[in-house]
Amino acid sequence: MAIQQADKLLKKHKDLHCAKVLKAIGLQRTGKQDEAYTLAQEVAALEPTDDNSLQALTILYREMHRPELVTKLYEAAVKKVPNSEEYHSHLFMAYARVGEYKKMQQAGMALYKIVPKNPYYFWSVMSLIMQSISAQDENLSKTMFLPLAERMVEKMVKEDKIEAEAEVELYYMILERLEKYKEALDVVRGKLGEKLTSELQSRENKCMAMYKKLCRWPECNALSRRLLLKNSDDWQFYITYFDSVFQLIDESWTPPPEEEHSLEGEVHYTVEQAVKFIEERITEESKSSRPLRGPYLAKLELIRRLRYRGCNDEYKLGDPEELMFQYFKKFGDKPCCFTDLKVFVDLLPSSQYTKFISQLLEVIPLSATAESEIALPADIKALQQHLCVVQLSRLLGIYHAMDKKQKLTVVRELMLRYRHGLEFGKSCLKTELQFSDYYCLLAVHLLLDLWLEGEESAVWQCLTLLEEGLSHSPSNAQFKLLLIRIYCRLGAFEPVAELYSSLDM
Amino acid sequence: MRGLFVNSQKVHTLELNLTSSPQYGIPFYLQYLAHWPEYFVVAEAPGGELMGYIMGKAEGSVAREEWHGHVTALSVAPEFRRLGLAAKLMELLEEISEKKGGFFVDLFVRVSNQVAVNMYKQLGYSVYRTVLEYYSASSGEPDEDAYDMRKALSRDTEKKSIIPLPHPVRPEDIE
Repeated sequence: MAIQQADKLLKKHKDLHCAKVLKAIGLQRTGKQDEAYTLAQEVAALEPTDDNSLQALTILYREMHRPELVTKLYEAAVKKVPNSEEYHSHLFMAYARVGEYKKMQQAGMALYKIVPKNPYYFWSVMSLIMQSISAQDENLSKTMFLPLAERMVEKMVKEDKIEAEAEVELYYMILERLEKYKEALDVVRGKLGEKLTSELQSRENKCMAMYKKLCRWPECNALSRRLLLKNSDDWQFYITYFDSVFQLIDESWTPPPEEEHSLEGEVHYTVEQAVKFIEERITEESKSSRPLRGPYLAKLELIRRLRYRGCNDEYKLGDPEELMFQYFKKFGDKPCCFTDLKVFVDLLPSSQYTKFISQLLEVIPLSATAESEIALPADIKALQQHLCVVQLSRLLGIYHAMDKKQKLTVVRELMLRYRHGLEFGKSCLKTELQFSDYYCLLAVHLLLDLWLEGEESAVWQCLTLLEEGLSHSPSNAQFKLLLIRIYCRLGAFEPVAELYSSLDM
Repeated sequence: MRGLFVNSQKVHTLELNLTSSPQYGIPFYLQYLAHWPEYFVVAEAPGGELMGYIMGKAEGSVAREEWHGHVTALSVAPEFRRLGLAAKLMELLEEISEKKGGFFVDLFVRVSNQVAVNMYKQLGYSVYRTVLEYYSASSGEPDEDAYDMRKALSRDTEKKSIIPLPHPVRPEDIE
């Protein structure tokens, strides 16, 4: 219908460019691409300069996925109307769509000459950075594009013309890429850095990155210490805190007399201080009704570091087994307990594995009933705790050491627990996972192990268990992924398509 | 917490979208990253796993006291639930919105999603208005209404922005 309207217009005004383009769009959308293209090119050849035609052609070319034609369009328009801020703007955007960075740089400066607005100038600067990133010759990046970009920004800084936060971000980006870390640090810590307000902790994060590059460990330590005091769950800063403490120890660093320790304040430079700091964080957390996990895990991380350096025993931090047991008692009912402890299992001696698992099991409130031979959890928390232990058992290789008969017994038990656990998930929505899903998954993985060891029949049981699991938990992607893999291995492709599309990725 | 694309150059795809969070395409995410990178906050576990993320934007007229932060997506991976992470991410988004001088923070949630509605109420949000048929359904099911929930920020001293509307609106009526 749009085409008809356009034709009506064209009958009256034969050369109305815009109408022709609108007709072309109509043609394009009804599948007549060649006609559309021809009509569009007819108009384009006339190098139109009216806004309507230009915009309409831009829309058309984008729908045809021909962004390079838009550049030609505006190049012609700009030749005819050289002082149009708008056309130069569109030309810049057109170049951006096709990644013509050098032309973007020139278009940006042309715009700036017409109207000296900061954004145009910095579009040009950004185009230089893009050229440096995409340059085939790495040398050119460092010796030509980036220095030129740097000089351009410096000019604005000297003339006190820096306005927007983004301009400071660009400056930082250039200096970082030039590996001028000291200069970048000065920018962030200086007056310009005050503009870095949008992102939380932007200045601190950038300072930290620069301190690391410059190997300024006192500052790294002081800053991470301060940030941990603000949020004792921010794991990345524990890592930095520990890295820096040990660097300082290795350098035998001592604080300068009668001076600030560092630009960022107080520095910890001994193991004793680090131990005290972590213990204090733990004490703080234990007062809260909802303690954060960070400090407890940090203590385990510290033990790992000290062990690696061969000096754990002196500091009486305790046995990892005991600490992990305490962690389990505190956080075992949270699903993340397993993934947290997984990071530190290498601290456990393998001879202690079975004892460790037994210890954990003992504190879980399970009770055997008349109907069940095994002790079952009475609520979701106990179920989650038990799941954690089962996952740890697999991780520590306890099932791996079993023979076929024992493994099959475990599978049977896991499925009993799985089905029992469905009770707790009766009110779960279709989009939620069942609490006991992991029991089913682990049973399946055990069967897969058996299958890979040569037990042919195991794979069929896998399939039935997975389908059973999926019927109760239709959103569980792990069930679907396993099913897809197994079906493919068996050459049964028919169920795969539906499973794959239901993953909706 | 770190902002995605700021400290780490890696892109944590979207293992989270295997859960019940909305299915957005990559261009949608990239648009937000380009426009409002400060609102993209990601939480990472000690082992490197992606725990959850929040995504938002700021919009609205300052003159009409409608400049506000908006929660576009909030998702926590199943393994990291019940840690107060959603609340923490919301707190961060509110902090960013405060820094920008927003009058309030708002979000849309399905009327049927009682779990989410209650969670937001606990975080201090209230229902400002109902938007009829906001969520278009796939294949045959009826469209679903949304609650537009709001929380006033400090710039809204008289808490005018959260006075509920007496009647529902349609999606076309939203600014």
